[in-house]
Amino acid sequence: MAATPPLEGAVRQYPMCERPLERVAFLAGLVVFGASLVGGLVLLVVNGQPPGLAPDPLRHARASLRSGQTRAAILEYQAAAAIAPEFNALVELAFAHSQVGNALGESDACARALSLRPDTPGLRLGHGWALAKQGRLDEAAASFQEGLTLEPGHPMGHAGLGQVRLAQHQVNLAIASLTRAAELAPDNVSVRSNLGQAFLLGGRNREAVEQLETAYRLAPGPERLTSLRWAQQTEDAALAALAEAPPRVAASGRAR
Amino acid sequence: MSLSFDYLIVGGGLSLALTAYLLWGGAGLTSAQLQAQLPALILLSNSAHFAASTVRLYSRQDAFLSFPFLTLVLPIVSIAVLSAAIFDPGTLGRNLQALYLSWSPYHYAAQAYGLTLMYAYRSGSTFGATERLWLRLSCLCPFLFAFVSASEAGLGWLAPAWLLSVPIVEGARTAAATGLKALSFLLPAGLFLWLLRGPRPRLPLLSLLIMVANGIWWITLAYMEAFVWATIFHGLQYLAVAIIFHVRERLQAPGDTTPWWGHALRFYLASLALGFLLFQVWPYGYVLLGFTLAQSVLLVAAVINIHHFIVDAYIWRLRRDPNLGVVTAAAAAGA
Repeated sequence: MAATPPLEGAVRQYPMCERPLERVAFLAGLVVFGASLVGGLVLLVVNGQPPGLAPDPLRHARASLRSGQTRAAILEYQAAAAIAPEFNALVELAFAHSQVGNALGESDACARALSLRPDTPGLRLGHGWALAKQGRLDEAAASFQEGLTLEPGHPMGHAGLGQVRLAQHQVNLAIASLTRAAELAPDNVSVRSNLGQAFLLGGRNREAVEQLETAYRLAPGPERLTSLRWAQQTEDAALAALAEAPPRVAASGRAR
Repeated sequence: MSLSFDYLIVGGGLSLALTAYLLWGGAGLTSAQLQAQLPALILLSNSAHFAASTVRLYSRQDAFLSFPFLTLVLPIVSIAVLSAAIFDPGTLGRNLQALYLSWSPYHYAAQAYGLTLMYAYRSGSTFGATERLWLRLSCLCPFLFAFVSASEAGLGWLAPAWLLSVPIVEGARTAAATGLKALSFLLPAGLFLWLLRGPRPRLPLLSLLIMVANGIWWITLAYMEAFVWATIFHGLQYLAVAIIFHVRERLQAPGDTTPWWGHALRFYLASLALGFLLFQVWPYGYVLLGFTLAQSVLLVAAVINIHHFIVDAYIWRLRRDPNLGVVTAAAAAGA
């Protein structure tokens, strides 16, 4: 059987090709390509890393993120996003930034991802949190509201908006948002805790104690215990003051 | 070629069946089983098809003499462009990526047009300039749709962002995309029906299927975010045709005693091995030099695509080319 290798035609033709410059270019290409392949194979062997079956530009990024090498992961994600700004890469970049506490990088990546898919409620909320971490409270509130427009029943949207309102000292708005968040996610400790703080700031001490007690029951800890005790003391002091107040003032105080 | 092979693989019938399954099969699209097979399918079909154009180019008897630039110079030019883009991913790299993404739908359209004409030839239909123009337009509609509507390629790449955000331009773009979407299916169907009437050369059903399949790939699958399947079917279609041409050429060579499947297997294995090395090993050469895997993989893929598009533009020409002999011989055999 006469074997006819696929490249036989070209291999036979090449020596007869009378184009010296082109031949040099071809050999140079062959050498560089061959060297790249050898280098690549050596690297794969040295790292003990089997090559994948399909091209995956985020392979190193995800592996780095999984192994806790977050800064290496960020470099990979940033390179991918610079060339091909794809939604998943940008969301994962935002997550990686959040892991190292880079709120600015996180919000930038969220904003770029949102420019590709604006109707993603979860990402809008993530963007809101990243903005809130930077103290950009108005922008954060707007982002939470946009997220809640897309998904009105998202507990973390209400929680985020409530937390931002609390930071803006808009106590009544904070209480409204956090109450809704607590209805949607009754076992969320930070929601209960924040709602307790909001009630406390609003002078609604008894409700503050209830919320802080719930938070402490869900996740006991020294910080929450301190908050709870402080709320209880405030409530006790308020009750004591009311007891000593003239009857008309005390009646209006109890009514609150 | 058997009829079922033509309709399912070359005509894209399998892709239509899969699209229907994805659309109406409920959980099929996201099923872990289907997704888990994707990397292997990409390697076996998509990666191998990119390499197949190189294998086909260099396995032609007249390769270096007929295509001196393509065979001798283009490889080093491609490597130089790739290296420059990897050095400057933010500007050169991004533009290279956008160029490849813009060119890709055109390449699909050109393949659809070439196959449409090839099957028309084989069925004995020879079209005049007018029919060919309409056929080309029908095949180009999905490309034009992708060009107009893409955000990181086509108009989204070439036109300034401020211009695209002007309401009237935005509206015109949306209207054009909607129109092209409809025309991608209406034009081929209309052309098919028009050619059925009167003493005109007929358009084979398989040619119609090829055009519709390309429209489905760029419109329906892209819309379903399942475009990766289109690349697999495009690769399958390409590999089938490349192997058929390769085998026919080899079997016509004087003194050849290798069975057809031996030629086919050798061609496919060479394409598969080269595809694996190009996509899975080559990027690590750049990682060794200190670049990230992300930029290496993305830009290597972009350059391989562009190299493939350029090579294909030359090696599949029918006029004054040995390819014509393969097509006409097949037509004669089929007659």
